Amino acid sequence: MTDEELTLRLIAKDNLAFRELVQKYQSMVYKACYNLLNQSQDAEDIAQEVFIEVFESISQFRQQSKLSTWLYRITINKSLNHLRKNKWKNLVNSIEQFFVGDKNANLEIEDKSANDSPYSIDYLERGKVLQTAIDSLPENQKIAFTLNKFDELSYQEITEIMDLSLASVESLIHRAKINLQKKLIDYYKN
Amino acid sequence: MSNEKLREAGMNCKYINRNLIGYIERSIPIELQEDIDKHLSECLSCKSLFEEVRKTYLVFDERTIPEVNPFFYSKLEHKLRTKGQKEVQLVTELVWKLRSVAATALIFVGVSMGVIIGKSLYGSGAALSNPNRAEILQEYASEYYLTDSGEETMNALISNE
Repeated sequence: MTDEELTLRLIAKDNLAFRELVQKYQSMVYKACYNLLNQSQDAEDIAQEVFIEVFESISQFRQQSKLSTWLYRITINKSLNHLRKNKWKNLVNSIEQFFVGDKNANLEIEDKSANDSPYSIDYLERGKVLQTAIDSLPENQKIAFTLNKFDELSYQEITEIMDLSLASVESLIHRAKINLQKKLIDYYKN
Repeated sequence: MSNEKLREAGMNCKYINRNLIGYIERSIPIELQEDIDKHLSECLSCKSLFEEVRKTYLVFDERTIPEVNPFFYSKLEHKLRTKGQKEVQLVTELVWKLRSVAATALIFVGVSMGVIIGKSLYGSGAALSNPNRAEILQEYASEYYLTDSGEETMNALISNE
């Protein structure tokens, strides 16, 4: 079934069409969420919210872009909203920890001693450093960079998702790499 | 300063640092790559820094993204179903709250109207502190004399008690 046929059936609230949509795009949506959020449970929750949003607002999809482009847009918005909400939550948690102490401290120690991870400590450390650097990028740079590097989308596809010109996307990705480079160099020089 | 000028000036370490990711991704021109190759073979400090940055930058290329939960669709279906039920529940609760607010508002309006009407009918109580209180009382009392001597004032009656 083509995306156009799928869209028409979704607008008609065809449950089978919805199931087909989910099966077709769940990996793509989940992967995009994971690349932005870097947490599998959060990625799953947000991916589900994306499909709920699609189910509820399919009638607003004007089919001027591809269905996958529209899905990516919803995914990015939901993921960024989740990150923004978490920023406040993390701020409150750190204030609470300051006054009350870290309730999860013992739990963390237990987890570290588990040592079931297939990855070396070096890998995990480097992952943290890179993720921190990516998270510190301005939002648009982070989105463009992540879509290009981890979701392996072309610049053209990214222009459609972010509704920007090709030059803007190229500039965003270039600046993201310059910023990442700077942050990594500063980290390792110090 | 542009890359060209840096290259000419021979400021190689800074030049390298500005192009590290491009070098790692092989997205810079061949001449630049060759320059960087040459410099890294000569400068231990830059080589060490380059190795650290390269390993970190490429770390996510080795990661495996977890598979989608096999129960993803059934969990989604369940969420859609319970979302509908939750919405109905929320609307019901909202209606109840609105009713309580409306009832409270009505009572408040009723009491306020009563007070306003009462004040406008009987004055603001200024009559009670009116220096001509005795006259007023006499006027009211004259309608309700309990004794035959109609000339006896209310004050006299009270004082006789």
